[in-house]
Amino acid sequence: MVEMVSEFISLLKSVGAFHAIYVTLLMGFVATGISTCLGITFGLLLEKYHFPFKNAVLRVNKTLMGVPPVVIGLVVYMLVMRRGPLGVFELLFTIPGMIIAQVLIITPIITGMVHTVAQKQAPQMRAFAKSMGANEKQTFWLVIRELRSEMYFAVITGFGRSISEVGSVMLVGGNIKASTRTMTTAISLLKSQGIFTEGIFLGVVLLLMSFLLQMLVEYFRKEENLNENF
Amino acid sequence: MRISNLRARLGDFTLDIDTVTMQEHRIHALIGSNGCGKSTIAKIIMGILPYQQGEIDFEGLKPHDIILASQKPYMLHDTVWENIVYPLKVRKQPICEQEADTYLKEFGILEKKFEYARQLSSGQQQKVSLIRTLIAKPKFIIIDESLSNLDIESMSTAKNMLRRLHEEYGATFVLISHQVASIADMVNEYHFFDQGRHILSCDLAGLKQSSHEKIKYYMQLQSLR
Repeated sequence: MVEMVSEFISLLKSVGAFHAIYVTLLMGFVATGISTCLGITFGLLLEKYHFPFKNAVLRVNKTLMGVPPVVIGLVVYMLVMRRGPLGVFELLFTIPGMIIAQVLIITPIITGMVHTVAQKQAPQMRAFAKSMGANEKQTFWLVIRELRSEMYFAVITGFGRSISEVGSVMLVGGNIKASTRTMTTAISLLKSQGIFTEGIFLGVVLLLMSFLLQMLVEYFRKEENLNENF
Repeated sequence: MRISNLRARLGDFTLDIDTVTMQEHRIHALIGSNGCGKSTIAKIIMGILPYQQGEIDFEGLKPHDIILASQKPYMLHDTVWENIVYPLKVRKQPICEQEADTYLKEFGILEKKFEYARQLSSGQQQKVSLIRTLIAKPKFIIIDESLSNLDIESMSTAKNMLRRLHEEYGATFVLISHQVASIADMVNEYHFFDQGRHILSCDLAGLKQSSHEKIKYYMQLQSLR
């Protein structure tokens, strides 16, 4: 039994599975972190301010929320390739390059989700803050605080999208073993090589991560429902 | 506070005020039928709604000196306690738990202190809103219909509290109500509005004696004439 396990682990090591888990988590956390800052800011600004072509901006964002990641991957690839406008930074086939692609995929999702919920709830929060004598800064933090559950939900959704994505990271990262290989690109490679056991192992790890995320989402939803008086 | 030549257009509704003066250290009431613009004035004073024309002279009052208890109070997604101390935090005032407990006890919701405010009934939420408004002891307090939505016992408690604060701190109160009788024992000056227009400012005797058709009809409906 012990031998079987150690053989399995060495097999996983040989295909770079553990490094792939590390890369997936690193990419997911960094990209989600950056997208959270950008998405929450954009979402709240889009809700609060009116400017020409605001509706067009919102429509573009909605389109980007559903854009196939492989298209984003292609665009980023063309930007960071050696002869591309960002070629001098040598980001192609690197984790930072993959993070850029992920940020472009996740930010519109968080922006859209935050904007939708802020559009419904922020005006009454701002009215309340003003009625209590709060200044602009205090009002801003109140809105953030009051929308925290919805923001967690948006962030978790973004992280889930990040770790499960394959198209753009394959194009920009190149699926290089022990470097830019993620769990999803590893599964894709293992399948093409006919190595199913390790592929399933990585799939189970991804499923477990999705399950944990789902539990977190449920927790926030439950908290939210508990707080309401029906 | 002095409101002069104020004109605000909000959709189909237009608020048109010549001059309304609310002297400090007095208890004022904005009265009139539903939709006459009472709450709109409160929201304009608080900066929640915009106005196109006119002037509001705050006579030295700063935003922190004014507070509004809304008709439909917004409850923070937090406990009753956090809701109550919010205006104190906004003003960076020290939090006196003992005083807050006294308010909660007087309104009979002390045991709800650490419950989620949104789980309370609407009447209890009104009480939280009132405590939240009074605890920071601002100089100018606007209470929009909150008193009318309370049961008789709680209304009496609230009125006693208001009187106490008025006597101790000299706060200026503006009560918004459509029931004159329920607040007649404490109001010094009434400001009557009709369809967005300011009609008259006077005391209760002035209201009773007014020859204005709308006021006469309004007072008859309230059995005060």
